[in-house]
Amino acid sequence: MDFSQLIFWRILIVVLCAMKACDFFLKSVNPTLRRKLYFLILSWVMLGVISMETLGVFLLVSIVAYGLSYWQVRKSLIGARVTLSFLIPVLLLPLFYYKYADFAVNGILNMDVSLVRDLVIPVGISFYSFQIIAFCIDTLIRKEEMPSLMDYLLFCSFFPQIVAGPIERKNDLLPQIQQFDPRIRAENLNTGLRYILVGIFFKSVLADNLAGLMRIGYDGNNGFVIWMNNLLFSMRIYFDFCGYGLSAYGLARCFNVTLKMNFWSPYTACNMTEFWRRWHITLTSWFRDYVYFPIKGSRTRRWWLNIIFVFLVSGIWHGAGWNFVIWGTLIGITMVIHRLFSTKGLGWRLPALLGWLVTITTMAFIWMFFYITDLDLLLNNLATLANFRQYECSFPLQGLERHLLVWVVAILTILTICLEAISMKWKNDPYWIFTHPIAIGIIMALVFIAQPGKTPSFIYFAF
Amino acid sequence: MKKLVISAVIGIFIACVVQIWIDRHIEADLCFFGQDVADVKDTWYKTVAGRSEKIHIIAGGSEIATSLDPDSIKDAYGITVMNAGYHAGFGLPPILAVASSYIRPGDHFVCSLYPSSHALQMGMKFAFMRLGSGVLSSPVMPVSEADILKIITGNLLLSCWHLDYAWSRYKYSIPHLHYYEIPENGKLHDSGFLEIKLRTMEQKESPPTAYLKGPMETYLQKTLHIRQYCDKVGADFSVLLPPLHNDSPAYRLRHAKIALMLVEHGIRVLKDERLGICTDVTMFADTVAHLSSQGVQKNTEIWGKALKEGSFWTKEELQHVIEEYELSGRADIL
Repeated sequence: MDFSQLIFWRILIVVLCAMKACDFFLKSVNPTLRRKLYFLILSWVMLGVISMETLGVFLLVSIVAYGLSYWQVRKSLIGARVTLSFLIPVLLLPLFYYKYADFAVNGILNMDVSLVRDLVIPVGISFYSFQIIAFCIDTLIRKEEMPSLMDYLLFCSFFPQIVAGPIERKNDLLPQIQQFDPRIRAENLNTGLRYILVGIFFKSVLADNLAGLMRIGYDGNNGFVIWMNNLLFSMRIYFDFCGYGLSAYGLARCFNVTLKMNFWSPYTACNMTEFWRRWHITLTSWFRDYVYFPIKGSRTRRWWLNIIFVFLVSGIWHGAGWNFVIWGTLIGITMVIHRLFSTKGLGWRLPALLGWLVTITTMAFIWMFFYITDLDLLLNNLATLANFRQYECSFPLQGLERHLLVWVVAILTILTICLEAISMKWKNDPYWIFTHPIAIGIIMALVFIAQPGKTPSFIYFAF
Repeated sequence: MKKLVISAVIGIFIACVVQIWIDRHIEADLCFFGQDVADVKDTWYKTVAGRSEKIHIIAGGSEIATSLDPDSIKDAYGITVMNAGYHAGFGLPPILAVASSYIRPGDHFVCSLYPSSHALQMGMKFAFMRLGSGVLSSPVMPVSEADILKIITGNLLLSCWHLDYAWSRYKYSIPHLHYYEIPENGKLHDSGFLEIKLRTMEQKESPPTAYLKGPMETYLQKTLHIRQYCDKVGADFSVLLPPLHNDSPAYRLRHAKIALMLVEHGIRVLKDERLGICTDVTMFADTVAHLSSQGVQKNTEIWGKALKEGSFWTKEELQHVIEEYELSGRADIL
């Protein structure tokens, strides 16, 4: 479900038109029920277009979760926690199989099992699995009413957010689904289209061009180039993922559903804690509510271990590989360090600009463990970075166009971050400024001129 | 909502204007082919136009522009060759108009275009291609949606102007359009193609074009038109299959069938044993069609020799090549 590809919009328009045509034949059916059914089919078509296996795994996970939760709510033969203790592993089984079995069995245990090798991860499994688990926990622990199967399935599979988030909570999205009315409302359509365009700008113009620059010249023996690539990747992953989130938000808004914002200008944060409050907000809040708080969070002496543990698990969520384990652990460590030195610890506080520089630099360094999966290469890079004699200020470029592209992309990237900061100060919303009509005109022009020829898919589709 | 629509429209307009400026002044490939190459060719032609010797004019796209060295041919074989290869994105008529504007009676016009290029007709919709992004949009060669968006926006307002620019720059004029589809007395020119096809069908159980799909018929028809034009002007005409890299030598079979189709309709095909297909990737530079310096050297040698000796494929030779592939069981690429 790549919003930057025309094929997605073609499928959407065709299916919506078909549904409109079906209205004629289904006049006797309750309109709300009819619309929910349409969007359920639309969501399943979107998943099915990706692959039937993706659709099949999603249906299996969602229906098993509903069935067991319904049974627990209705029968209450055993406690909710007992039910959850076997429900959650069952729901995580497909995720573990597709994403981690190869690493666990062939990597860690060093066996040679071809059955689990090179499995294609069903798109969105990491996201909807967590969304469904959160639903089950919220419903069973709080002993809430189970929604109808239709509402539940639409909640799980709502197509703008199923593939790469945001990971919605029952109390936020389900009431909107239960009152679902996708008929056009001018204000929502207006807002939605603007956010879609901003999302496409972030992805197609910024993220994809940054990806292209990363590919131009990687040199593991030059510390300067490694830092440049780290910086490029840190910007790229932000614009890629945030772009998807904004497009998803805009698309949902067009159908009168308000999703959560998954990013809140993290690169204007002045410390690590603030950064992670603004980065992939729905995932970090999921881990906070369902992992960190249940293990007593900061209400114990082992608070530092809890923080590292949560981020380590978060790292594993992102991918099956030792680099992700290291990535998550490093983030946890930096969070602990910040907490130790911050107002809650020693009470030290860096000036805003210095804090911002430290945060950006730290994240640029840590992102290296995210995009380089080869441990030997990582070690080589670390050795190069530690050796100041291996720093040479250069970036391999060919031809005038390359230089021009570099400058254009650099200016756009910096300008975007600055505008986020300004918008945050002015309207308490970092993305408001991009939805202004003048900005929309400029963004429209840039989307058409500056997107590269071949667009890579969203990074987070791999998770 | 009104503000959104207005902003979007203004944005698209700005995109077109900026894109056009980029195409004209920054985009290296287009600047090179659109201006520099044209200048060089025009200047060169002016120096030889007054001579009485026969000139072999080889027309095509960038695959010809980047594959033939006339000076080497002159040095080695003593014949005068005009490299009239340009940029396929200009479209077929300007390419042929430019090349044909150089033809004098007695010259030899060699048409070297990929068969799919004939589907380009009046030039690709919205005219310009960007070699840098590897876009070649035609009904035959699909392109990604992002590229279409780029081309359409970049050239929406300018496509006509660009074509006009190309046509005026290259002295494109109405008479050159005649061999395409100018109606005469309200009727289209009879290309003679149908008559030829019918005659062939009477003689054989399966006509020679039976195994070739739609674009090949267009290709044959247009090639016949160009030959008619050359006949009118009093110049010789032949076809040369342009160089193309492909890992499978079996693609030579496809070109052999295309060459056979041309030969059976009375069109001479210059003899190059490779039939355009080169499996050696070191002969190519940035794409499957543009030769490296090593490739140019080798290609120039082969074509120079063929032009000097005036060697063309015969029907029997091509049939033998086809039979060879079919017997070896490698005929399944089509």
